[in-house]
Amino acid sequence: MIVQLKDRVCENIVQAVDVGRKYSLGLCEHQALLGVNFNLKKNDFAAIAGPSGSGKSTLLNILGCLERPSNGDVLIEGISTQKFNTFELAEFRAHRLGFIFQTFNLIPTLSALENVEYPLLLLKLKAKDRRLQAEEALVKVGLEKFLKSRPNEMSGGQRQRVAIARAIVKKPVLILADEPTANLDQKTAREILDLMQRLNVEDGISVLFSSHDGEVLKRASSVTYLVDGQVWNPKERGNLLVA
Amino acid sequence: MIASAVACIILFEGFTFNMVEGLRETTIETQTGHLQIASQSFWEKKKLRPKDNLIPNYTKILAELNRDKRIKYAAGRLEFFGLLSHGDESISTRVTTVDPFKERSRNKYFNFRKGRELSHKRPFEVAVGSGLAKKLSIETGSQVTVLTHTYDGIVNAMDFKVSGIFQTDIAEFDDNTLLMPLKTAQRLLDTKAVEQIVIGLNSSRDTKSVMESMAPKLSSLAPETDIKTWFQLATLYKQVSMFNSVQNTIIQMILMTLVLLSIANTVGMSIMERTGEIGTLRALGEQRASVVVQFLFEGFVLGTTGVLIGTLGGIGFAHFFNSLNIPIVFPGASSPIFIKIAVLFSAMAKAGISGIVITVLAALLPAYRSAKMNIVQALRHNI
Repeated sequence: MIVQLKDRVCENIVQAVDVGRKYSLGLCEHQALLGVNFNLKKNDFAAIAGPSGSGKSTLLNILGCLERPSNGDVLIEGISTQKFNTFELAEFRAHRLGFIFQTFNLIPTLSALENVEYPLLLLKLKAKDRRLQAEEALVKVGLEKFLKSRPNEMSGGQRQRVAIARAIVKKPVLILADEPTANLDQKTAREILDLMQRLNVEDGISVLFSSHDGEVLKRASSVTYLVDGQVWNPKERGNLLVA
Repeated sequence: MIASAVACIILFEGFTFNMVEGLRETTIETQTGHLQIASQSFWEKKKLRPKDNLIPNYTKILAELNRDKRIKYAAGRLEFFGLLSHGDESISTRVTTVDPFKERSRNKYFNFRKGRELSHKRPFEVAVGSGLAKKLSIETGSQVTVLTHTYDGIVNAMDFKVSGIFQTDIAEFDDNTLLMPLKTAQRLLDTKAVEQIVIGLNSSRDTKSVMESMAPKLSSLAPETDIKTWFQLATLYKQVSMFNSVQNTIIQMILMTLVLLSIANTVGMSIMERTGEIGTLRALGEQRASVVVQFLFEGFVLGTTGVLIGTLGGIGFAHFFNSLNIPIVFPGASSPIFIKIAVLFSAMAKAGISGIVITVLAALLPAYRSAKMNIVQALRHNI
């Protein structure tokens, strides 16, 4: 599957086709997403916006193959992920996707360098190559002096830079970032967004991030608004103020 | 937990091994020898007349046995019941014979507490078990009478001087046994034959091979006889050995069950604490099987470390206990002995292997659960 995707030239990196997601909460059912259609083009720096509970994270998780939709399909580089099994989805994530989380999600027992090296371990690269590429990624995010530091020895901004280095080190086609600046102060958030934008331009990595912060959303090349699990179209439904 | 369990198993197995080994040596040297030859009817207790069980040409068999260098001693033996009298008191006694010259190497196992061992130069001296001596108030030098009947049914009696009082590790033996020189017993029973030929070997390991080499010779020299090993004859030893084996297995199972529960709990807690980490690894593309392998490997490392610490602890405690010389009286023993714990490679291997296997097994279920965890839910556990 990965071999098939590697040399594929496709204008749309990710496509969500009529995606729906239902959750069972005891006897009740909660419709988190309903009939969502979404396209992300190559080299986009796009955002998903919407208030809390609108389904931003659910959509990002589905697009990132972390969970399956209840109905509809997700196409990555034109290939349907519907029939992928758990093993293939994990393999796909390992090779093609990078993740940045709101809470950084670094492995606390590993140094910055080891954290960044980890995705390359899954690609079965040689130790020497892993080290070299991980160092390069950390230099790219400006953490060349923190290679040996553990997450608890770094600030929030530095941790998120390590997470960005971990996401870019395997040169993915797409980085999915779930509220990457939500846990950071404004100045650090700006720096992180600058860095993500720079990587998008310089390395040609498509970036899709979620946020409900208007200042952050201004940086996106395109914004998809979600309200109550559905894509909000201003032409059809009028204006929406994003807090 | 695992280190303590491994150390306990090593100590317990070493302790019971020494106990059973001691019983084996005492049984062989004071009672059965390594091998015994007797008529088939003697073993089967078929014939009512004891005279029919005798081996008349036993000296020829002894001559054949003495050619074998693996044999330490071979001697004829008679065993019978008689009435032992001292002063006004009498008691039924089991009389067993020894050849004081050929079987002198056995003397140390009789552990003469008072007096001296039997000698072929003093045919009218007997030795009495400590329990029996106590019952009849016998001391060394006491005059005693043994009353019995010969193989032809005629009542006969002899007076003896008590040369010594012995105390083996088996109380039942010491309570009712009198040792008499073989030649004297033959005179008392009016026979020149013996009931059994007892063979002592230089090494217990040769028991089977000597038996196999003797069997064809016996069939030509005395076809009515049969040869048996000490193990076939030592009923008490077999019972004690089997009891200890069952007891060891039960104790080992209890300890390993505790280890299983404890490690499963520890690994379960570890997985709970690392739920976010597992979610992150799975999001990065780690396969479910790899997560399982990681936790099993952790279980293996945990188990191996515990086993190493437990083994070292077990060896250390064994030496420590051995140096303390703690006295203990075993059930059925006549005197206390010092606790000695053998450091057995087999016990270390058994405890070690089962410790590691149990630890890995204990990690299996929590590891499988962690791998099946929903990635999105796992990611919600902040790191």
